[in-house]
Amino acid sequence: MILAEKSDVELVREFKAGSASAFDAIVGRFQDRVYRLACVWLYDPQNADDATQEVFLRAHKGLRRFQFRAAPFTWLYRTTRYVCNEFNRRRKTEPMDDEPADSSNNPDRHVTEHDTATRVRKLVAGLPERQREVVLLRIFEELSVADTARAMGCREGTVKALLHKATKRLRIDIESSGLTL
Amino acid sequence: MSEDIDKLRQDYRRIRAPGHLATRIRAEVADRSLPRRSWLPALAPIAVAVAAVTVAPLLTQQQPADETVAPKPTSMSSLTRLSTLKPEMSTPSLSTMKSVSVPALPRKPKPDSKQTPQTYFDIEDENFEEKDNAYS
Repeated sequence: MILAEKSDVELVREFKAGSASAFDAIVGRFQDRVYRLACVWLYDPQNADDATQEVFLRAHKGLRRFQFRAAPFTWLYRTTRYVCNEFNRRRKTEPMDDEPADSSNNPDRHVTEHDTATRVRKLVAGLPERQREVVLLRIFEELSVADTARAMGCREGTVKALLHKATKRLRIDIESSGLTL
Repeated sequence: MSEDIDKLRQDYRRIRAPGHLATRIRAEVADRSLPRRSWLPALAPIAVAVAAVTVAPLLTQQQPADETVAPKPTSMSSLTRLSTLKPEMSTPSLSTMKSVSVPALPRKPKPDSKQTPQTYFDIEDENFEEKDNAYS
């Protein structure tokens, strides 16, 4: 069986056994998903490249101790959250030289820089953090309610409640913003 | 799920990582997997110490040769030591000295028995004669 056909868990098992090509397959399989998450979570989506690289560098170390208590993507999602929070904290403390003079720390300031990513991000960024997380995992990444709950570290009932509130608010935001999707 | 949200989901999933990112990650992972050389600077003082310990005995071995060049000590004890260290000279014994043939000294001439020894009175007489000559 070639690596591309193997399940996420099997790939991680092979990587833990010492296969370097298994790690390459993990990167190939998850890099888009991690990159998208970084684009939405980061204040500056231009740092999404660096954040994604950092996530996989940590994965190269951390997945060797993976216990398979959750799906590998859940582990990657949580790592992406940590890394993006670190990047955002650094941005708050360190002034950016290439930043426009009139820019603020508002997550919406890069609206004109990217097309699709920025439009999506603009709508999602209006949600409270927990609701945004539910939308990303349950709706955009299409995780199961159980996996979403595990990734967020909460109960499944909380996920359902947050999802209900998030979709209601998101619908209103889409209509009021007049953005053509 | 409403149509708007479904459209939003499709747009989100259209976002792709740049093509070079996977290559960059592989290169970075390979770089970090290499053994670290950060302990090398810490090893430098140890290397210097080992070198010093190795060279030090060689330096102390050369030191006696330098002492010959150094000025001689002036204390009595050291002078005594030097006298004992002085190489022995071949001094001839008295017996060997006797056997050396030395040319004989010339003989003392014997005094003539007929010739009267010059006495004090003779000298006086001569002086007396000179006096006489002076008055004459």
